[in-house]
Amino acid sequence: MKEKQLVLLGLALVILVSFLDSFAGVMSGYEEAVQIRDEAGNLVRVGEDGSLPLQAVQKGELTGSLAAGQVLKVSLPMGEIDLSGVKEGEEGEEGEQGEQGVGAADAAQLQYEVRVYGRNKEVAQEYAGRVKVSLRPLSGTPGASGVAGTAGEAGGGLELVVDEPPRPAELKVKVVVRGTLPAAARVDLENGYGLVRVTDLSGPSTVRNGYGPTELGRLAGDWSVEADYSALLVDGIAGDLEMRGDYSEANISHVGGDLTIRSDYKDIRVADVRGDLDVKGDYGSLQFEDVAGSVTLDVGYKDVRGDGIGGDVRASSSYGDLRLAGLRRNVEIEAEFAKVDLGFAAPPDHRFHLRSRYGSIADDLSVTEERSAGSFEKLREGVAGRGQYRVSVETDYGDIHVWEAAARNR
Amino acid sequence: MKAFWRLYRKDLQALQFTMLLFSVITVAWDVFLFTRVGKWQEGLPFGLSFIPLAFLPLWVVWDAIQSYRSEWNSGSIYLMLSLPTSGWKLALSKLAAVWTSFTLLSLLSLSGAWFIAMRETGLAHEIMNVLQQVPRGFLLSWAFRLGLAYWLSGLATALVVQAAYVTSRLVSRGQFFVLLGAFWASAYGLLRLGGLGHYLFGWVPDLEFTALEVGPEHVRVAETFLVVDSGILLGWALGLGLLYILTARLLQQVVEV
Repeated sequence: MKEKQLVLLGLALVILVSFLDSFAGVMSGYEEAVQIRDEAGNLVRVGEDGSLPLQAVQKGELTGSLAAGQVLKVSLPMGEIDLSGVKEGEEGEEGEQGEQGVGAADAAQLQYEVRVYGRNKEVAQEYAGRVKVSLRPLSGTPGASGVAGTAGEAGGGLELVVDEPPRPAELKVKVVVRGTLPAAARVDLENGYGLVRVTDLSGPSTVRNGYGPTELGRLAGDWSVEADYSALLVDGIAGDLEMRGDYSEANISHVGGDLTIRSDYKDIRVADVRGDLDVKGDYGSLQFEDVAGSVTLDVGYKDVRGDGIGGDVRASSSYGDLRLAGLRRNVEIEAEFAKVDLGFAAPPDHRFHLRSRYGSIADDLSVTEERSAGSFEKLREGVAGRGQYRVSVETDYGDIHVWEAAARNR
Repeated sequence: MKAFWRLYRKDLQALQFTMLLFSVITVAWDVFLFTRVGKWQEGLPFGLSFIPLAFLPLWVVWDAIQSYRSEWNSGSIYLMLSLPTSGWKLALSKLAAVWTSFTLLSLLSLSGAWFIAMRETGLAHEIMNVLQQVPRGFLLSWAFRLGLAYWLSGLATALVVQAAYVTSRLVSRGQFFVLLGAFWASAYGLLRLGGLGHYLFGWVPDLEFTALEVGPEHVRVAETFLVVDSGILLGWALGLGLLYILTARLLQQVVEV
């Protein structure tokens, strides 16, 4: 047989074998292709989810006193924080025996767990035993004993301190903090990685979470939340809420004051804001309903749908479409490529100025007339009712559509 | 060796047009991204500047095929095969030319990404912040290893594609299907030889790389090691060597024009 035919026959055989072989462990030899080993050469076994196994847990309880308005500060590189407020007179744990000056009303009662993950149980247990968790007065807090001032004294508070010795590289540590605080206490929480949950506490307070779910509910006062790569859930803040975070989905409802959002890349849903709504961010989407105050939007690539706006609207958008319904007062919108869809609560009482350079204008209210404008520009102006409020919409390439919105059942 | 260098220069010249084309596209793309710094989302121009680098392996496939196809199309294959030059020189000169082109274009793409990164001052500041936490020796060795892995992957791609193309030239009809079949068979062969290498070369010390931990707290060099089975790598090297020998043999003895 000629060499050429031999080569082609060999090729055909290899292809045939490859198809048959796919049932017979074709990845044999690759089981240990890449491994993780420690300095001693021991294999580091990882769990199915890629994490190290839990090897040791140190548990404990801490109590302290927090007067109304005082702050509990917790800062964890990785862990869980779950705190709730207890109102005076509500069922709660009694003040501990022998602690002078600490009544149930002021009591901060925390349970903590130091969880150590690693491949070597002895090393993990030895390390867990050397981690110290304590409550210390915040600087500026009266009293060196660690007992905070009497109830009613503002300023100062407590700080949860985690003293870790130098950590071997093969260990990971997660600190879980749960507990109850006086409902009038405030918090300053920071978590690098993990869950943060806060309910029934007061502001002004701050929550920062680098990566993980963040849940806030039934909170008094003003709150500030920074959450990246987090799923944020807020249900009930009596005062103002400021939210900053990228790559975080957010579901925010029942804000008694103003709501300010600075967020990119994820979807945001807002419902029931008694104050003003101010959103700045790109990408993702924004849906909101029932905002009693004014709405300010600076959204480059974010699609926006809103309904039920009690105050003025000011918005600018590049590519994100705007669909707003239930408009009652002044509206000022600048858009480049975005479609602008505005539904006005009946009966409209507005002066309209609608201009689009290359897009179309549709007026279902039939209150505007076409005016002369530059080439390719379209301009429609008109008055509905007494023209008490002003509507100004300008787009480059986006279409404009105005219509009368049906009344919503609130 | 004189013959080899002459062939190498000739093959490199034959790739001039594709090199120039890719360079122009890359430079135009990078200039465009340069003008977008400050106007687009921070980090986006820098991220997009790596598109040419990601596209380069496909370009290597094209170059590797063209390095032989152009000989057949232009008729110079007759001269090439009639020369008193061994097949291994012919195969090596074409492989070296494609690899050189790949190297130069990779450097061009990386340079563009570098300039854009430096222009994005905020991003550059963040990157420097992270890099400053990493020991310089660790940084250099990882950069070298990653660069070497990418560079060798270009060589492997060129070798496999050239072997497949030369094999397809054994037939006068259905060359495309033979090309695909040869490519498939090469990939399968390399996969199997890698696995066999794990057993055959188990006595060879494995490659160890110090691991880097990037956590919420900080960046640190961990005291754990990423261990890569050197037997598998040697198995692949053996397979690529065999493919090269096959290509040379086919050119010297088997391919008819």
